[in-house]
Amino acid sequence: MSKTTAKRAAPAVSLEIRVPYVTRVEGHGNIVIDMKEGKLVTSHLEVVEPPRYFEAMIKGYSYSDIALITSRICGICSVGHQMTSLKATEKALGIPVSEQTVLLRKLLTYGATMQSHILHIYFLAAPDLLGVPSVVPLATSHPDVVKMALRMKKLSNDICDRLGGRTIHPNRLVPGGFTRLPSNGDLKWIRDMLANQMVPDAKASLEILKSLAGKFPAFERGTEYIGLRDEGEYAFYDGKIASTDTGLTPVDDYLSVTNEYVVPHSTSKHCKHARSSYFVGALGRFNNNFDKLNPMARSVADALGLKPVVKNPFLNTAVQLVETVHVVEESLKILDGMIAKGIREEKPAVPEKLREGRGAEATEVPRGILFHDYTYDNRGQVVKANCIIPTTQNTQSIDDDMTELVPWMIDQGMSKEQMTLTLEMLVRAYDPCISCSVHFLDVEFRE
Amino acid sequence: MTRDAPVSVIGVGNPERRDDGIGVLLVDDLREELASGAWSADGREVELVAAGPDSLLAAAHAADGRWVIIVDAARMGLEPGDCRMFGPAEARLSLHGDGLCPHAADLGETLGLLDVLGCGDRVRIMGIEAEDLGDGRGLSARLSARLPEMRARIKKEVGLLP
Repeated sequence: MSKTTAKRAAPAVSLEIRVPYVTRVEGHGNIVIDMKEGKLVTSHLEVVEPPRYFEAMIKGYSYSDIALITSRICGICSVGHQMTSLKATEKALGIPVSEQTVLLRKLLTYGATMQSHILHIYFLAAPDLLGVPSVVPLATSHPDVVKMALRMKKLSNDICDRLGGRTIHPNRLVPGGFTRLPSNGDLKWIRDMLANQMVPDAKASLEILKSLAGKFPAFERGTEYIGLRDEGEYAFYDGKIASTDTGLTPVDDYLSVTNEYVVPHSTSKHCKHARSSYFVGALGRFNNNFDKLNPMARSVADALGLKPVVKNPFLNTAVQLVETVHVVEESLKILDGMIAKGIREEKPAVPEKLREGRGAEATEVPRGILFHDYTYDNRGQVVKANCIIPTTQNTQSIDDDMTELVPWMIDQGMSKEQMTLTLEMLVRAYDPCISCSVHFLDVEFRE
Repeated sequence: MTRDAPVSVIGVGNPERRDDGIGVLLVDDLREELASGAWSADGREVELVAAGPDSLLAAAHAADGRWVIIVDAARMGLEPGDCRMFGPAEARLSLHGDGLCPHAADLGETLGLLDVLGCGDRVRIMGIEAEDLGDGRGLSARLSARLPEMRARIKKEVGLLP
């Protein structure tokens, strides 16, 4: 993982690269690179998914339905969408939640983070590092590793199932709490499995990743890194918006950070803040929360040579392992406390009286910071909604990376085939959720 | 595999696409039966998993040494609501092989992975002929009417597994 900064001008070469439908990412996106006589004319990821219209879809629906509907935006980050949606609704309508609810939601968030990170590290990114097209050949050459990855994925899904009632799209979470609580036995089972299975598997994963460290392209491009920050802990569930460039911003002012705009080549909006683009995701969190890492996660970061500010976008995958270990440790801490106290029976809180209100909230989902913002009328029905998904925030950063990566690759003497693979690796390193990134487009027709 | 090894019933599909969600709905129903004691599975350990679009979970359960019954809507040329139980080797399911994506590891890819891992013989697939795969919740009337029969078929298969 040596450092090389891409600043040199490319030789006067002409190059055309087209990757229609990048594989091993969610959704459909195309890589388009055109260089003419050393001048980079085009370097971007074309998002070609149709708009989803979720914000329009939920208008008129009751506050009690919104989290269940919006969680369908994503099959991987469904837990994160539910959390963010519930928090925004509770803020808008003044619905209180108990400490126990918050702790259970954090456990669910951590389980979903483990699941997504493990899937990305082993099934989506590892084939690139090992030079194979997919996980299927890996199952032939490294069956024990693939079985371990499946075991880790199963446990992560089991955690979400036991706490939320479903492995994905949990159905026990409602505004104000849970419709059904896990048993003390569920908590003990999760604790034992994390301690006895996930921790050893995570340690084994560290050794695997260390052995592959030299396979990450040594490309760096410094940018603005954004993630939630909470003074009490490495932020996933709550916090203020933290930027490595500008410091803290309250979540209520998220629009001053996201600054969405449209570009001709993509159905996903793009975002920018202090620079032409910013990075959200594991690197965004790590670079803003390094001092809050738990001890084992910190030792994993040290073993991988990771310390802020990590400027190599390809290392987002390595940082995901650090975060996996962190959320395992964090889960164990929460579980120890909850098991000692025991689960307390409680019903979800309900609003004393429905009122007009607006609530904007943020949660860190595996791919980065996620915003939901709802305005309700006095019947508790949505009149306006806005959801800004991490991949929407990362699309311009991918484009900016490509703009510096292409001359860097030429400088490294890469073949066109190597450059194509490296560009695909770059997109996959962001772990993008491309179809989620395509949300409501404001359309104004000219009469 | 030892006799009476644990069984996982994995319901895949999207309940927001009418009959496509049949696997998830059946798993939810059986889960209630198991929790209430209406079904004991003769004391055998049974895990019921509403996997939605994540068919890769079936691979995770089979690789964990469990029997797996995947329940999914299918196009098999049968009458809507008709079911067929079969093993991976009995069906031709496409394996795209261009790399799993996190949302769309289709059944062909999942079974291909299990085959490579040597777990394919632990998997049974219950295909249910779908009628309506349009947008919206709720099954078509023809599938709805046969839910008790489908639940009974899954329970029977659990009992038949070694």
